[in-house]
Amino acid sequence: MTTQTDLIRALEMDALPVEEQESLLSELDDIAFEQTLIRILENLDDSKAEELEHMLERDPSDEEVGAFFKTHVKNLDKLLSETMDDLKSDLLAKKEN
Amino acid sequence: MKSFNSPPSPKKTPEKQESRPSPVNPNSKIHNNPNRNKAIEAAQADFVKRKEEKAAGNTRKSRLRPASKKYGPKKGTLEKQAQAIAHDPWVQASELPAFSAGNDSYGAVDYVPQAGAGEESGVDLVPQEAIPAEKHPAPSTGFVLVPGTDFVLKNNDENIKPPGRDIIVRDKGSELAPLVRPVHEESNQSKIETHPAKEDLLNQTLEHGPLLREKLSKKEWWETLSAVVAKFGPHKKTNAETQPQPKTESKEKKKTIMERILAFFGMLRGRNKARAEKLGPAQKSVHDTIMAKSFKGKKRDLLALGLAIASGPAPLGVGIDALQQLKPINQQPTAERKLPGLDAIKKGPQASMERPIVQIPGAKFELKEGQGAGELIYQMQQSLKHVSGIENTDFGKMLLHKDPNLLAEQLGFPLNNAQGYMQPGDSLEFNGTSLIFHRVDKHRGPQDVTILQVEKGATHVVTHREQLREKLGVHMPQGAEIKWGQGTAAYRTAAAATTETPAAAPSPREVPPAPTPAPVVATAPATMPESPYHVRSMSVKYKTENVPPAAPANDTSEAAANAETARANQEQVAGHPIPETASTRPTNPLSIDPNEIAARLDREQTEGKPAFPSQSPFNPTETVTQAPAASASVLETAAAPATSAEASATSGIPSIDAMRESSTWKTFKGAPATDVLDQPGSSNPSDPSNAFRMDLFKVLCASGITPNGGETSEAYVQRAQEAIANHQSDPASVYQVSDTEFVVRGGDDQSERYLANFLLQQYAAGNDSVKVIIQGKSSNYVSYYTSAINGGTFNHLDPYPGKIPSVTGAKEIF
Repeated sequence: MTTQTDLIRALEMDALPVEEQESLLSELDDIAFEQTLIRILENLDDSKAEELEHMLERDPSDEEVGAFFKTHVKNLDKLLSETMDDLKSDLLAKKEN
Repeated sequence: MKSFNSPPSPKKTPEKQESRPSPVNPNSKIHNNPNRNKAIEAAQADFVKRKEEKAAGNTRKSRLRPASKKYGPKKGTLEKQAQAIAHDPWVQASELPAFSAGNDSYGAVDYVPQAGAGEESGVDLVPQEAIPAEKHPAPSTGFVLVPGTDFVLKNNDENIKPPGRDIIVRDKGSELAPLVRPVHEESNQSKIETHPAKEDLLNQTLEHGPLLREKLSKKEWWETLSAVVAKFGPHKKTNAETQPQPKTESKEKKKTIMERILAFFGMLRGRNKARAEKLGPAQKSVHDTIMAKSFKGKKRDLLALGLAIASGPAPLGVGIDALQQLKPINQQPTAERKLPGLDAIKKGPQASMERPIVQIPGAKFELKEGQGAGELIYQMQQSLKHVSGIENTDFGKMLLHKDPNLLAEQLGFPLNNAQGYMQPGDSLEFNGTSLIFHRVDKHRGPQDVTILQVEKGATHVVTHREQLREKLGVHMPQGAEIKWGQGTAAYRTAAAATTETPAAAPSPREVPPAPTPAPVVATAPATMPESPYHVRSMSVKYKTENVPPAAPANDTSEAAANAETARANQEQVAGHPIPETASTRPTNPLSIDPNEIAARLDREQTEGKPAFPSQSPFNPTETVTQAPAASASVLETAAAPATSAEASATSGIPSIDAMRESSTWKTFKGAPATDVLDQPGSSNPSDPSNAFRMDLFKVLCASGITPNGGETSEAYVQRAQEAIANHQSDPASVYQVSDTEFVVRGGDDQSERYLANFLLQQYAAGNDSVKVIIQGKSSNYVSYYTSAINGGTFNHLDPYPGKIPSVTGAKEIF
């Protein structure tokens, strides 16, 4: 059983055509991404946020972005974990409703 | 020929059918109708005639071939009838024994099937459902008679008919032909299959059929026959029929589901928006930038990749893949465990960058007693081979298909485990992104070293050999320098060759010029921001002077070479490394008189002039105000402008030119640079290999780049020169804060560690409290190495939770 199947069931998308399922999952992807981003930004001070902004302007390499997060975002793993937990809770709550 | 007295077809004149009396009613007019009886008699006569014609071979083709024609040359036998039942869903009931003419043992049906007359001897197949229910009320007999149409043996009386089947007796004029048909109409589409294994039962039934028919009651006979029909009946459900049909959701329901999901997404987006609004201006700007660009596909993937890298092997990430957390990772099948963010990464511009796609928490392989590193590697290979997807990763390609013994050596675990690189209890862990060495040290606690990791995509795999070596805290006696394979061996061979070659004429590097006053340079402007990257420009430069000249290089090098040769010979005879004696260990070439430092600093304060000149011509913030003169020390002469004046004609970079001009260059330039730097080093400063290594460290400091594995010293120096010339270098600075404390800043991580190793080796002789603090590129990364000198080894404590050390007032020695 894949996680995608779990998601489809959690969202009760079984009855929908595959194309629509993919579209909805993609949208959920965006939402999860934004949630993660916001949570990271909430833990980034102003100077580092500006630094990140400047970095993004000059089209940084992936290593640079990764190193930036790793360096300047405390408890990154924990933040990501919390974000996913939130989303999971939301999905479960929706399923129960 | 149409039969006479045939009532109109129900399809053609349904309104007339209702007026017809039931044929089972003995009092009905139709039964008492002499014309009808006459017609029946005529039909019977016709039947006999047709039968005779048939026997004579003069048959007429019927619309529906009798089952007897299909399945046997002769009808009437029980066997043929049963076969007909078994193969044809629409067998004429007249072919069944139960409907043999005149057999009143079968109860309530009081009609005698009359053979078909003329061309219409076949029957039309009318679904039972087409018959209005009110037209066939079920009598106790279970037969439903529909006047003018069909006689239906209703499905609700299981006592007298095969279960699941109806018997329809169609009255079509004189062609009254009872039918047994399966209830399901789809039987027409089913494939006929015969089950050889069941033919015994069929044969027994058929063989004993007549006998059974006499002995059994009507019900029992029907049950027996039903069993045959059921078992060998033609209708076999196809796979499509047996599979549950997909739900055919109505559009309305789909719409409702979609609305609910979108509402849910809307709620999530709304919450995101609310949280985003609460971000500070700077953070909000980043958010908007990324989200705006994310939909163009690039930045978002970039960020996703960044997060994936940042989160490393943690089972976290972004996007749908991260939702794998809906199920605890340890409950997922191994094959499904994926590094989060992979999909997002592969969709974007980084698609060509191969990332590990497997994550195997707990893929830890522990070295057992008596087990070798190669065996452990083999065990790891065998386990990882079963991980889906790993074959396509860099790690898979690198780890799984190599000879385990060779790989063990390449990973830094020599098979001749003389130095105890791996001990029972040590373990290797592969987490999808890195191969990590674990050891729980009794005194220092857990020691984890990442010995392999993917860096910069698929093509660059980094080993951390020296870190591994440090973590392991291996005691490396003198002479045990053959650790990293061929490179070091080549180096030793080269060193041995040196001892056999007459020493070359002393180079300028080895013959120090007369001492001259030390040059004085201006320090960096006070307004220079304090930054790890600029710290060297804020420091006070130091240069020794008035140090007595060293002994002639040819003498020392020759003596050292002789000593090395003798020691090598002894080792060869003894079969084990022989450490140097204290008496042969010379003084530290980098030793600096602390009193001189203090005097210079005092002079600087009183005179207002910088006390120490800069040695780095590469720092644009430094201005050399006076041509530096050579000092008396070996170190100073190596970098002295007097020697670089000639070298500048080639590269203009003193450290590099000096190195190329040295007498050791030709001897050692072919040795792998990593091996040279990895050497614990002879404590003899005049050892030619030591001098060469010293020069190489200076190049390392000046360039800040480290040699690649297997890269010769010549190639490395050339690359360093180009990096410096192209301003691609990141020079490292080494400061001596006190007699026992050094700080390394700048350069890449590799160079910092090389430098730390070198400093400890050079400075820690006889002093087990020397500390080398490394300040990494990121300002919050500090670790330190402390010496525990015991034959030239050192310990590494990492990470160091202390503050970033101040180097104000410290001397920069590189």
